[in-house]
Amino acid sequence: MIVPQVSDKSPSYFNGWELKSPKTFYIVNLLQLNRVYTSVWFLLLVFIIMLSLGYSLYSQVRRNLKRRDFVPLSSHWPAAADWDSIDTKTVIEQESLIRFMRGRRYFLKNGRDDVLVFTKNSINRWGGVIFHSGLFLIIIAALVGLAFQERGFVQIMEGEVFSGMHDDFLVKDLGVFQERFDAGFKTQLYKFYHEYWETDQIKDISSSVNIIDKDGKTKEKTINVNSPLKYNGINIYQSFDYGYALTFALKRPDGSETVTHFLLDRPDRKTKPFVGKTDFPQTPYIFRMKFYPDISMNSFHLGKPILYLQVLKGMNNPVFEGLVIPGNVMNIEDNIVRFVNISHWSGLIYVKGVDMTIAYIGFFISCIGASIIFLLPHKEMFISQKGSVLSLYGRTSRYKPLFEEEMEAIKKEIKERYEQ
Amino acid sequence: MNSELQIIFNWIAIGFYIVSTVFFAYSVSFQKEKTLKPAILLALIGLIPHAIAIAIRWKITGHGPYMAKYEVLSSNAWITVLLFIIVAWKIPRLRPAGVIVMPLSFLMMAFGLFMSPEIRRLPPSLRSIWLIIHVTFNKLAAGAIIIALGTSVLYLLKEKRHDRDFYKKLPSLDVLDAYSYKFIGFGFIFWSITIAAGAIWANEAWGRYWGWDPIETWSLITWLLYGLYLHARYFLKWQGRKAAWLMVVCFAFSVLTIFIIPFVVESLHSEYFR
Repeated sequence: MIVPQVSDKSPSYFNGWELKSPKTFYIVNLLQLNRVYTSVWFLLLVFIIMLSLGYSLYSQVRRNLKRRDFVPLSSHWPAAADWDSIDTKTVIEQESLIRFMRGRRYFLKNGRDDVLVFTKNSINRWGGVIFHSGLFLIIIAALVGLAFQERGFVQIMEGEVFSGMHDDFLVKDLGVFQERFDAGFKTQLYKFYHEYWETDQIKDISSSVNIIDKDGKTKEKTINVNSPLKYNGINIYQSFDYGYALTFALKRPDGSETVTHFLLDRPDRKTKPFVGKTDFPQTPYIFRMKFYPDISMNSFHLGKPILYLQVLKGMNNPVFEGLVIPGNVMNIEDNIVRFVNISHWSGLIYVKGVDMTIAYIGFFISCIGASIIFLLPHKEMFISQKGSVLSLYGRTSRYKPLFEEEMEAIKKEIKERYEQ
Repeated sequence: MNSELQIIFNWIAIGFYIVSTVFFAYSVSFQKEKTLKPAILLALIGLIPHAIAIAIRWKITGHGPYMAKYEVLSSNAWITVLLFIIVAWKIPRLRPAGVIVMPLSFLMMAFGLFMSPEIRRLPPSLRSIWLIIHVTFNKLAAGAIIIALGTSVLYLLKEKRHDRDFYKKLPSLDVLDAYSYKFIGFGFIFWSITIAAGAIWANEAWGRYWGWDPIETWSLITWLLYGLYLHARYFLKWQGRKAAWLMVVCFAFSVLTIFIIPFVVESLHSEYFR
């Protein structure tokens, strides 16, 4: 996405953008280009698609109900020139002919007294209706989602408690008609676990959490990938965002202290460091960090950790540079900075369930509909007999040349079977 | 050792497919119908070492052939050749389509071997039954689409060189056109199921059934394009050359979605094609 989206970036990113280029930000925000999929215009677009599909569905149903079957009225009877004739040199009994056609899955429908009309796959005419009904349901589900979804992302450190309140989510993705998302309970990250394959790819990640409800009661739960925690109507999913949180305390000459946590993302290889470059809040300093969980520089797991730290004042003025470990104290200008500790952080996704069963049903129905349309083409065969001469006429909804071949084969078989 | 063995079996399979392609090309170029049977037989024999190579890889990695370019391309090629042999057995007149299907298949395999035969492990998000459904139907869709491409290209060739004896032996233009339509119908159904299974799985893993991930979006565009093809045929009565060229465009979009987009953009799906 060319324009950064609110579902991907934190509010501070947009605050920064607004300060840097207020006019551009104003236009982007006004046109809701920073929230394309939850914007009013996108919702309207989907609504128009739904209306168009709904009308198409209505027309198809009306047409199908009017035409109860495909056997035409006498005024639309196939012209004489369209019929093929074969002389079997014998009069075939109707019952025998019906049995023969049934063997080829053609069933007697109706017709005039002198003509037998057989049909195959007559459900096909409803295929389009079934398929588009499925799509219609999917679009309704999408509209409900776009209008009412409540989704938030949060990064929690081990030991930290997330309030579950709207303002404390790092990233929020709300439907057009949603203004707030409050989980209604607190979550404490007790422990975060991560395992790796020998190829450095993630084998497993999970978060062990304590859910603290309004009454203060605590429940221990575990959240795994593909196995979300369902609590109080909210699903909590394990995100792939996780890493180490480095905690620093900065003590000023006047004795005031600021504690902050730097959340570093994990690298894709264990030989690479966890990196980060962030402002130290309420100070003029920027911390540029390269963190190795183990001094061997060959593990994602905490062994003997080491941090290469560069502290910049402004953009390009280094005031400190060196290797530090937890417990180290550094003098940065007149301030004392302490590397307090290291812990894990885990990314959790909170979703208030807009029920998607309707979307699944829609998918299922549309797959059935598509199968009926393309795998079961409707076919009709008209057979009339005058003496030993059999006249045949056939038509199909799809794959006409293949049907013509099938007709030829049937004619050949009739001839071989009944000709004396 | 096992790792080397599967590479050897892969190359044996590629060898059979190359020889099969030569037979198909000879048959189509010199209008020799006799060489079609050995070409099919060679493709069938090639499937065996190919299946062994996939099975060995499966045993080594502990998961199906859906991670890394090598596994994805090799298994796609296997499904395509298998589908083609079934089609060639049921509808012998479509055998010359092998001149398109076989080289595409062995090129997919060879490309995979050259790119990244190293083992990649399954991340936790991919450990789901929905992955197997999602991937299987995607491979079936790819197979059906490649065969539809074969019949469409044969249509275009026959239309251009209809006076040559060999092309006279091919199914009529109308029949080739109808088969393209039919196989795209199959491809469309399989592609729909692929998207459906992926959406259900995404909802289980990340709490949303659609995330506008680049490959999701391109997959939707491709699906809509096939929908356009089917609608154009049914309502606008597009057929023949126009439909065959539209099929070629649809195929190009499928290749873009499955094989090119994962290379050029960061996506949740690019995991399978790194």
